[in-house]
Amino acid sequence: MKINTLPAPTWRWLRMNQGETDFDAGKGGRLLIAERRGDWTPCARDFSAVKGSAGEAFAALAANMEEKPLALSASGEALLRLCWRAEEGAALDRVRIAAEPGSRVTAVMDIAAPEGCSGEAGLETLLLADEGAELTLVQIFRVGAEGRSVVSVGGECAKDARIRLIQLVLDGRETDLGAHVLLRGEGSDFTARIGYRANRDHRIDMNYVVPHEGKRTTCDIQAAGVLEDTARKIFRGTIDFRRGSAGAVGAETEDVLLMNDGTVNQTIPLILCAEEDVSGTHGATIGRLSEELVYYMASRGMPVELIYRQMALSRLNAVAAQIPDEATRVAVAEYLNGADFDTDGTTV
Amino acid sequence: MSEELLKIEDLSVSADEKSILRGVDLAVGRGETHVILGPNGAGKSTLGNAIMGSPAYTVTGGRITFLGGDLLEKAVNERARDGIFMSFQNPLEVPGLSLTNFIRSAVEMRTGQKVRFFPFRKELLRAMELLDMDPSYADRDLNVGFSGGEKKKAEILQLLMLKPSLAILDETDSGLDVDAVRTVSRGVREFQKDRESALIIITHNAGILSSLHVDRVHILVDGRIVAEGDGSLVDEISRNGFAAYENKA
Repeated sequence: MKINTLPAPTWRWLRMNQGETDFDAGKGGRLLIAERRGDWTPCARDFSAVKGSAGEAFAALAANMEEKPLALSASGEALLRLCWRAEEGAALDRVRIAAEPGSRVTAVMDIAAPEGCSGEAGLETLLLADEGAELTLVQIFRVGAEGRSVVSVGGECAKDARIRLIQLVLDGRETDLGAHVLLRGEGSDFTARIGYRANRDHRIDMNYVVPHEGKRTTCDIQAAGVLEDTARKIFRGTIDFRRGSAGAVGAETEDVLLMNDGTVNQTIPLILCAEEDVSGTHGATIGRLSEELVYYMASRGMPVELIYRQMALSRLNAVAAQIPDEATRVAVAEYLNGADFDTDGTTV
Repeated sequence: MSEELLKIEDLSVSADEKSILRGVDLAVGRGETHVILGPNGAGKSTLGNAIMGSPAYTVTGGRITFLGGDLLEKAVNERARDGIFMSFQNPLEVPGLSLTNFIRSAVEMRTGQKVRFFPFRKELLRAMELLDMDPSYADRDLNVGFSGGEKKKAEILQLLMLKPSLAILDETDSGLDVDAVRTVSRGVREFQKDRESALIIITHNAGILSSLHVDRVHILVDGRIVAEGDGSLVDEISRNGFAAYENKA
């Protein structure tokens, strides 16, 4: 099926308009609630208008699942920690979270699998941030070198609401991810901090779409990652200023470190504009480390291979440092320290 | 002179095909502090970078030996491991790499041994206290959001933790206020207590030198050392500037 479709197609020969996946799942039920803090209640809200980043085909697949979605609503300060535990084969779970007016809600999803497990994680997460709410979604992907993840995130923000997204792809044979967040309410905001690394012949396909409808809405998408060996990555980032979004500001930046020449790095920033008084920017730093930085670190005794390894880790650490939940931060740090990124094809 | 650590003979260096150093000679012994003074553009930083091995500069002639071995044959990280350290004028910012982890990796490279975290952390915090550094900086990303003064202190912190045989301080005092210069000087004095190590201080003003012991002063003008003397030469430059030396190059 086609997933992660770009809202406005570009030249077909670039092969960047959408991704393809043969992911299929007939069941779910692998999502566990590991921790729940604060005031959570079952949620009967209608999420049918919320679009996910993976697109219609994936949404249709999710809609056909027998298991009901995990649907929760939170008020005040609340935290939810979910774990997706892999088994062989594919499974697709659905989560719906509503952050009530003025609430501060954090949801952490740890998508994990033991090394060597070829399990396939499908996850559709839809979010509603009510007026003045701040909803933070953290997704950690650590499914091992054989695992696969297909993740769709959708959200809508009411007036002065904010959705923060932190996604860290620590490994995985194939990872499809992204977010589609509609900034409907005036003054609403979306920020995304994405960190990733891919080596061997692994593939990461990303799609971020932010339609601005409300006045003075803001978005800031920052992706930083590392590619090695023959890994492939595509990043689609769309900021869509729709009519009525006067005063809106959107920015997307990307920082990709290419460890060698065999990698394939594709980026397609897209800024759509149907309103006059808006500001959209895109910036990218793609390539190898600057000579100046390598010299500075080498002057402290570090060989070039170690410098690259340190800088690869630093990109992930910088994103991990923004995870608001300390337990998750520690788990990620331990994972990064224990499973150091290899720079020469061997585990270090 | 005490046992020779560094010897530079007839060194010529260029950058972007422009000749900068033209036949520099310098010998530094263990326990000595040498000062390279000179006006802006004289080639002082080029000399430090040539010793450290910056790829931005090309050695076009001459020799540098360190502990009797040919330094020019060695890569930058090998020079550092052999015991050469340079504090940078503009230290780089590295998001995601903490000051602690950076220094710990550097110490491991320098010693060739795994560093045990707790003794290392204790020593690091002690050195930070000496430099009036907020201990929270230990866990902050390397130089990210540091003021100019904190960056310079972080460089001196690395000097104290790495314990090099030869330290080159490149304009460490530039852009610092009086208090920060005093603090940095305190760190440098601490380093000077190790009589096995040597120091080359590159500067164009004498502020940082007022509280330091200086063995030898070299005046560098237009890529050449035009005068040498003991510490009293610093006072003379402070009074009269470089004008008297500028036509000697």
